[in-house]
Amino acid sequence: MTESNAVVGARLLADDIANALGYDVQIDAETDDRLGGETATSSIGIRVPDLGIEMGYRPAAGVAPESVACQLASHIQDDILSKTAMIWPEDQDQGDQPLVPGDTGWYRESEPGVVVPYGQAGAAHRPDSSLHAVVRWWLGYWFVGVIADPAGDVWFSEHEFVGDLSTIHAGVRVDYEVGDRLHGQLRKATAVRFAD
Amino acid sequence: MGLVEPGLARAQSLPTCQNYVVNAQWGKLTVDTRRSNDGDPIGVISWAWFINVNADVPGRYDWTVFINGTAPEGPQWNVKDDNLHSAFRRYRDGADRYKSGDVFHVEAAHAAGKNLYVTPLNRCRIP
Repeated sequence: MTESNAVVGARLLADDIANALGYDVQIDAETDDRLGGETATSSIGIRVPDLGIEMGYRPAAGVAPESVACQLASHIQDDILSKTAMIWPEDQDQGDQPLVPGDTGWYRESEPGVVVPYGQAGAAHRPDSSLHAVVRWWLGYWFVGVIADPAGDVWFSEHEFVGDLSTIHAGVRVDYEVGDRLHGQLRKATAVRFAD
Repeated sequence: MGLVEPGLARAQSLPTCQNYVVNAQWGKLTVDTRRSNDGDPIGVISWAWFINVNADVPGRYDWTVFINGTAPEGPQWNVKDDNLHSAFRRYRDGADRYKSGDVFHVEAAHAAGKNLYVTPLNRCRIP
């Protein structure tokens, strides 16, 4: 039996999570053969039970495996980063800014030509503990990021940030205020702006 | 799911999707257009659903995004312990999925204990 592109795509992402972080990853595929006799994947889901992460959707017919991996990865990368406090997937020798999901593979937002195929991004690392009051990582496609803080990293999104979002990148200095809520393991900011 | 779409004249009378906020008794839905990293000034539609009742925030969220009343991608779900925040890219799999003047809306549901939340009626024009 051949697997659908949806299952293949979900498995590529599952491999990247399992190989880099060691978690058990479940894939849930539902099929619907009521139309035309051909079995099609009617929904595809991915779960990381140890982290309480779950995402899924109904992919369009004929979509490429990489597109499925991209859709799933886009919606759970922040959750994985925030719940593990790890840098995933690692961009080797590029510090604490992770790779981000694109239509054809993981890539570097600052250099879109750099692509690591889904299923081959099997590394993660602990964040650099020497950083302070700088953006540790920023997911420019999702508008969320983390500030390095020795007392515990601080998560923020576009909703807490005042300034030009398009100029945020890893390493930029920021001023911030921390609230009493959490996002995953991370403390949540109430206000963030570029440092003078 | 999607209501019958209004015509172009009606679309022009809608609020734009820039800093679009729909308030509800329990929180709000926000929609905003963003520049994508390939330089497209409306390359991403970033939207978020804030439920202010903290105990009701965690759990499964189900949603579908619509452009001019049709859904470019299938229904989705995501289990969150924080408010739902998502981003809809214009360029995906080799094609643009919306253009300036199109109408964006999102329909979402979230069950929490005895409470069922649904997104308030929302509809905005992409600038």
